[in-house]
Amino acid sequence: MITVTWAGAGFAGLAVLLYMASMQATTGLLFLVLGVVFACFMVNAIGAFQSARCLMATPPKVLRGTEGEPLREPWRVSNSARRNAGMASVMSPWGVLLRIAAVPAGATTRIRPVLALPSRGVYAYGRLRLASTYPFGLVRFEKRMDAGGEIVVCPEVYECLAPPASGHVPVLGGGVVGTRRSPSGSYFHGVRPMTAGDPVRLVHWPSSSKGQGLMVKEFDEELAGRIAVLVDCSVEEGAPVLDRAARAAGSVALACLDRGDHVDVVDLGRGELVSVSPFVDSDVVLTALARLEGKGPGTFGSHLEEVSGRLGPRTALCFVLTGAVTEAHDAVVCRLVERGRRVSVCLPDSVGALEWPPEVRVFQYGERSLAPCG
Amino acid sequence: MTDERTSRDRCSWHYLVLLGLLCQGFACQQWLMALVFGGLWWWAIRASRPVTRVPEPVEAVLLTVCLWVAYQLAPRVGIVWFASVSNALVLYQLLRLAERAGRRKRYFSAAVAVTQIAVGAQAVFDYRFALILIGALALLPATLRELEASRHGVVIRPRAALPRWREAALLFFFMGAFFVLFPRTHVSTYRSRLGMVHGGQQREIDMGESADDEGDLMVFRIEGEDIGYLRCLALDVFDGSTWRASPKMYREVGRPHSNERDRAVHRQVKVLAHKVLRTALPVDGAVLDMRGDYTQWPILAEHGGAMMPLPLRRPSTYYYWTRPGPLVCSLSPDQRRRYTAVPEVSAGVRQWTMSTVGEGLGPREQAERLVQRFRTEFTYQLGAPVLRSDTALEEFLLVRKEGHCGRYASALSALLRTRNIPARVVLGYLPSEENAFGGFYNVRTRHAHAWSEAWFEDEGWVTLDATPVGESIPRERRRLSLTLYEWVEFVWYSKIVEFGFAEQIRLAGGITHTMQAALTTVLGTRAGLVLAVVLVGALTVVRKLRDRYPRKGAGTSRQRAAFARNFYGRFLRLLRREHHVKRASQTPLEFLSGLRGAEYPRGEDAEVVTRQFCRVRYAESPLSDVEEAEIGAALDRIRRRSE
Repeated sequence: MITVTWAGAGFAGLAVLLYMASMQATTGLLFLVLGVVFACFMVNAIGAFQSARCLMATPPKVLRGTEGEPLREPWRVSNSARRNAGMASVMSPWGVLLRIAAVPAGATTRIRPVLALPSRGVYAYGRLRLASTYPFGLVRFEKRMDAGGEIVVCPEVYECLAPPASGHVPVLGGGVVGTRRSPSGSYFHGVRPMTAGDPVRLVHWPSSSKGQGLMVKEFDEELAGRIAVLVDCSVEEGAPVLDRAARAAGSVALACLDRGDHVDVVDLGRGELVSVSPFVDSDVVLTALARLEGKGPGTFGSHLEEVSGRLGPRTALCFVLTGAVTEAHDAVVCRLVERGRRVSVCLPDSVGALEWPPEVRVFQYGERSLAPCG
Repeated sequence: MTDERTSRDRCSWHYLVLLGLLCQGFACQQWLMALVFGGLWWWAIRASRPVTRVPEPVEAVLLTVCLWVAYQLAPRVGIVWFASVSNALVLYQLLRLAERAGRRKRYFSAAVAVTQIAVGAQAVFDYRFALILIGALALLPATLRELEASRHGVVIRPRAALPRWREAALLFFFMGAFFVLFPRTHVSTYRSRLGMVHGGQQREIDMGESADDEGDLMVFRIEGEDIGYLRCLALDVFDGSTWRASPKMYREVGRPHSNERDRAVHRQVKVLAHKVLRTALPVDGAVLDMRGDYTQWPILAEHGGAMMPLPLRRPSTYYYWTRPGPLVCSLSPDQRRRYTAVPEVSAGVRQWTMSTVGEGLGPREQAERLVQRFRTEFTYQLGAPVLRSDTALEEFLLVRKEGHCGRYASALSALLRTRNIPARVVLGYLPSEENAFGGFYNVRTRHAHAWSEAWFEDEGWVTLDATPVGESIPRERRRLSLTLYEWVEFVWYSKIVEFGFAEQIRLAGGITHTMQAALTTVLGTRAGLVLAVVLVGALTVVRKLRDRYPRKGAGTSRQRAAFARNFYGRFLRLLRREHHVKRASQTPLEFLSGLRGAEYPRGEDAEVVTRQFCRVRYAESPLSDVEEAEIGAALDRIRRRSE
């Protein structure tokens, strides 16, 4: 489909004015000037048509990004024609996704998108169009793109305090220092006399050389806890608080991962659980949070029991609530505390907290912040 | 500092604005204003930046007020309104140049420049406009390309923004097609410098007066084949010395709107000096039909020529269909009496006539005898002495025997009347300056001519030219360069400057006719039909093959790598002159590090070349025009140092 750009509309208007002026013209030369403008339109129409036809923009199957920031993965753009092409854009319902300045004849290049989607979510490619205004920007030719895939916009994360975890187990590189000693680790504790069974590589030779026998190194034990971040989705789809909750959940999960904990992220709306071991790429967590959908009020406990069974019995729980605290929330939290679970709750900053047992840590999250309550 | 900034920032848009300003200057009808506007352009792009920014709404209001004031002031200062408004736009352009204008403002400024070029097209229509047109054809697309590229975050050098050959050819084709085919309503004829003349063609002939060279002023141009005597006016009253036109000669006897065009020939006349012709439209033969861009309908006068009821007010173009040869008509008794009326002539004249025509000859033979005697015994001479008015005819025939065409026409007509043969003197032009390239005739004031017409029973009005060099006037030989110049001028003015609705209709008719003829030729014969089918089939096959086996074009990865090797190899050769040799084991980046370690003075340039080489060679990323320019500039600096 060929349309006229705003610049083209301006020049077309000027041409109309000049044509009207030609009624009083003293020479026919005015039509040559008009002809130059007309020729620009025609060459532009031909160039835009050819450019849009020969440009092939291939997106990655999943285009990942963070809300408010340009998408990261580049597109593969190739020009199959024998002439240069470019000045094209990939248009999406959410704005200009990609700007293709110039692709030489027969060349293939990779171009990063320019689109920055403001909120997290999953956007199917669906109705993408490739529009070219090559070379003058007066006329635009658009064609539909048959691209399968989606854009996953992850929630933005920010620095915050990590809620307490539980069920610590020795893990090399764990963020919590235990009371016992370990033959390996990051924190050197001291030396002790060598006993039978100690490997030779643990011998601390400077101490051993002082004549008290062989001494071996000891390290502080490193522990990693377990924590599950449970995101309440009992709000209408598209509610801004769900985006804020996703940001808070992502920030909490990443803070815990940084501490070396094993993190489970639970979508309480669908009952889906994502487990992430420490020191593993966190994209899976953020992708899961990008796919959160509001399921409507009253769905908080629908998958809770089912999910609790899949979590470890000693796993700490961190609820990220999206609305006012109801009796249902209160009952669940109190029951879990009574069972010996370590529980923390993240509430929107617009919601007041109930009187919970002192073991429950309460946080409040805002647009881009999470802080302990009180 | 200023130079660097200016040269860096200058782009096609600046030059387009300059072109608009120059056109605006030319619209003021003088080079001085063009130079002043050019100087202002130079000053504006070198002015310190940024100037005080005015909010856009305020600026829009100010501009509107400025335009309105200019429009109102125009009649008071005596200039046309669009020139005044365009002068106000000059101020706008200078403001845009003096600041770092954004893309939207540059678009608007480009539109203003196009407007100024259009204004210039109304004032400049000689060779300067050809240059302006070439400039517009190059700079408008380049400006639009630059602005569109900047929207995509790319900066294009002015030279790279200019249209390439293929694109330029397309632009030229579409411009020409628009010019020829787009319907237009009206084009007033330009005020040609050739037509600026006062006075007019003479309306009477005094035999006694002398005649000098009429000058070289171009009166009109006529296209057609076998153009003969072009009549403007006939004189029917003779008082013994002077020939005059009676009011009956201006009387309408018909309108030139006949559809009978058998054996008719077509002529096209471009009147340049309308004030010379006044009401007369020079024609030859018997006019059948006439068309033109005049606003009043012409009439056919009694002498067979075409005339306007009122004098022409501007240069015009008309074309007509005519049947060459004598004007066939009958004479009423009144006309016969009028055309044979002649004052009593002297005995000497009567004897001279008798000695020429003798006895017993018919009217036609008598006329031919008289013409023959004039041509053989008399001499054509401009500036011949003045004759006494009461004995002018006798003195001319018996004593002087020399003079200009008016004397011969007067004498012959008078002598024919003495023989009772209806006759009159006709004023007009005898074209002799044919352009060898264009096939048209330039008719100037010196081609004005007078001859006689005599009426014979079976033939009508027959042209008789007694002037010794009359019909045998040789075609003028002009210098080749002058002929070529006149032909180019003719084509420029008649085919381009004055190309109007009438020419469009004719062209459309010609194209339709040609296409019909071609279709008839192709489809009418079996061989033609087969040829057409074969051609279409061959084109389709070629197209399919081209799509299936595309040619390896420029820009493939292999070619990019070759290009990268090329400029990096040149870089290494230049450095070798300064004893910086890259070992085979070194990577480009290691070699660059080595250069830094050796404190090579042009380290920045070396880094540019190396980085771009790695990009093109290993990342297979294409180079933009700007990057290519950067590499070229860096290599130049390295070369200068190595020399």
